[in-house]
Amino acid sequence: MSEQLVVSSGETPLTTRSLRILAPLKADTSGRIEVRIEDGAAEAQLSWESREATLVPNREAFIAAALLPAMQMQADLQVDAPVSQLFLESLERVQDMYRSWDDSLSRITVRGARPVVRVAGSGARAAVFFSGGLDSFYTLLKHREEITDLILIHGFEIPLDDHTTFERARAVVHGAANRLQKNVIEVRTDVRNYLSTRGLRWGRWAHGPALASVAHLIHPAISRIYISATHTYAALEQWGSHPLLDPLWSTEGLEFVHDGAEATRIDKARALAAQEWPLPLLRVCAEKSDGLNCGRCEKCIRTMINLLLAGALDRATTFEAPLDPGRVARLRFRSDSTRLFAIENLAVLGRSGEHADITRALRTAVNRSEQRRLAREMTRDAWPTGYAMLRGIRDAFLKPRGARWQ
Amino acid sequence: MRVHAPAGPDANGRLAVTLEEGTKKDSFYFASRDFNLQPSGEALIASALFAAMQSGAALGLAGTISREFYETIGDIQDILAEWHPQLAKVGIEGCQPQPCSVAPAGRVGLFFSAGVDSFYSLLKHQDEITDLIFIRGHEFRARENELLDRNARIVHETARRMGKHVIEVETDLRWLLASKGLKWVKVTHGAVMAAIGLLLQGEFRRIYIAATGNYARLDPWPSHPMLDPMWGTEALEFVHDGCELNRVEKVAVLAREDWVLRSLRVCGEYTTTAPNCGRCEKCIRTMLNLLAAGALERGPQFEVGLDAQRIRRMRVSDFHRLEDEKDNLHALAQAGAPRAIIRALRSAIHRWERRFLLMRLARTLPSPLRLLLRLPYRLLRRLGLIERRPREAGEQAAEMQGAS
Repeated sequence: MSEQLVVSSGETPLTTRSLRILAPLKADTSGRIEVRIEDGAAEAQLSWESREATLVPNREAFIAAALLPAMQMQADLQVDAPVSQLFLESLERVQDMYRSWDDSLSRITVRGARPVVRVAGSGARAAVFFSGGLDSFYTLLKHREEITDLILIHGFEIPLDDHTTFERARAVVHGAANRLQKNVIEVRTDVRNYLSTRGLRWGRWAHGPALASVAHLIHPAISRIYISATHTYAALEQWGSHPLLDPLWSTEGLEFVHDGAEATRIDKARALAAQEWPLPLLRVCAEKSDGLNCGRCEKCIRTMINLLLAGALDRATTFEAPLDPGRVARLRFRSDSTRLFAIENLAVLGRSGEHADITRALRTAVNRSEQRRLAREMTRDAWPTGYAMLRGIRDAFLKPRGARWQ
Repeated sequence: MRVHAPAGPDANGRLAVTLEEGTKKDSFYFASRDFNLQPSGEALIASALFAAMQSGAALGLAGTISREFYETIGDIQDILAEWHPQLAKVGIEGCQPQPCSVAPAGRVGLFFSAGVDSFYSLLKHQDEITDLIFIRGHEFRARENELLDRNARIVHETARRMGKHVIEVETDLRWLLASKGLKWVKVTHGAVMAAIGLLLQGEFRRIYIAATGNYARLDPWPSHPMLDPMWGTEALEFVHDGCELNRVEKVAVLAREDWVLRSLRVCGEYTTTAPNCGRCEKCIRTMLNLLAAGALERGPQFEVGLDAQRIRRMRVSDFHRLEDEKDNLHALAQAGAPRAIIRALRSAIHRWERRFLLMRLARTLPSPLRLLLRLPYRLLRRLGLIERRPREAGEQAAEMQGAS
């Protein structure tokens, strides 16, 4: 028998066992919304907080946040509250996609929801999730006339206890907002902690629903939300934010737009380089560093090569270390995505015929990564027991990736 | 480049379309005896878009087109240009975008070839679907009447059994595009289906296009859940259907109906004694799907039966087909299939896995070494000591005829 995961607006005691999401609590003075989740003896609490926007406890936000854990636990969702009809209908396809990506997830049902038609608020605005990175800067510039608000989240890319990095990100976002005369909405949330502790991989699965939860709490103040594409149409992969998935979080009054999949990172760098002012604000690095970008990690190096190809590296002053061929050659690609970004850079470098040292170094890194991967796959196929043993040893002694979130 | 067509089809139901670029003129046709095809601006754009994008020339046509269609044609081109670097985004000129004047109609269609995917969509939406659309001139040239008639008979028999209409549409657009180097299987078939759907939009409100892949394996593919809905107008919706299941799961659904299994036609090869050859990778894959569903005995006719040796020697065209075969292996192991079959399939999968890995490894070698290895590789392939990677079913025939 499946358990029931309950999203309830009231204080009605729940008769189902094991897992409950209790009433969303809204503290008007602090702008904070909390939802308590009980899982047998354990209890978790989700919160969203903003000083700049009035958060509205729309149930779509909680369903988005709880959907993947519910699918993981084979637990139905019970919602004793109004929920957008369009959103409810689209949840079927959201689940289709996630189940196709991982067949260990179960199809669940949302029970007790009263279907309603959500309407956009008067004078509703358009927002973009903005971190100061290449993708979100590209979307901001592309839709600069329409976008009114930049949403910065503390608790997604930047851990909640990392105030220094958040202050730097804040300065970047406010810098861009001031330049274009846009409003900034800061949201602080622990949704990522909740999803990560359940083993839901952030990039691959969880960040899309988490972004959706934030946007739904800001409705009806906003009627359209842009989510910047990570991958191009040609290199789509299983990813929490996806051109087929993002629009499915929409309601009748709030449209989700996955934006920018038509452009490669090099195209995006060119778009930024065409304007002088974004380059000193560019912030792509997820590592701890003294400045905006360490200049040493894979993402920094990838972006510096993007900028080099856009003819703008010398104007991008936010990287702490220069682009160094030695460092490029030593790059390690930890996912298909990062490998594909490198191959994309390599193809354009090869065609340009310039920057021979960087081209050589990047080719070395890509080839070495491909050879290691092939060796790994061949070992796995030829000697599955030994491969599993080696992985076990690695997992036992090395800190798992993403551990800082758990 | 300009595209134009007469106001309606001739007495034989044939609608001739002309493409002009400077002094160069190309023509193609759509024909149907079952439906009065309407040459809307949207249908003309869908049929001419690839030719225009390849030549890089703006596409011009007279008259009005749906505003919704006009607004998404740029997004369609963004995707196509990102997928196929030989295509460039072009402007649409000379027409007036307006909200679609066609009143919403009641019929619902499905492109139907009697394969696994389209049969699954038919069963899933059987209460809603009113018409099966069968395209002639797609898998084989229109002159291959005998084969086409046999396929059409299966479609008509299915429609009769389920109380649906059949609309047959013939076109040679595939061959025109193939002659320009635009491959049917990997590039153009989605747009041609959209063009045919748009010729029907006067009476249809929705047309289903059955999915080939599931959400886990979405490659750039001409018919795609992202692309198909974009061809719609205010009056006609295209729905890409069936991405939620893989092929093993779809066949398990079809296995509930014996007559459906008997009617399946999955093969794109030329056959004489049965609708499916039983030798190509797609036939073998489908037979394995049927075996996993416990329905091989009740399945369609194949010229030859399932044979472990043939499975072992099977040729796999690409990484995604290999993933399909892995789905089969998993399902067969769970279903307790004969060990000889499982061993043969595992052996084929491992052989092709090693082959694909080696091909990738070869790409990481320095160029002089790659060039050096190419000669002996080609020699061994010519001597038949290395097997060729097969093309998609029907792809080879299509390209040969397109080039002729």
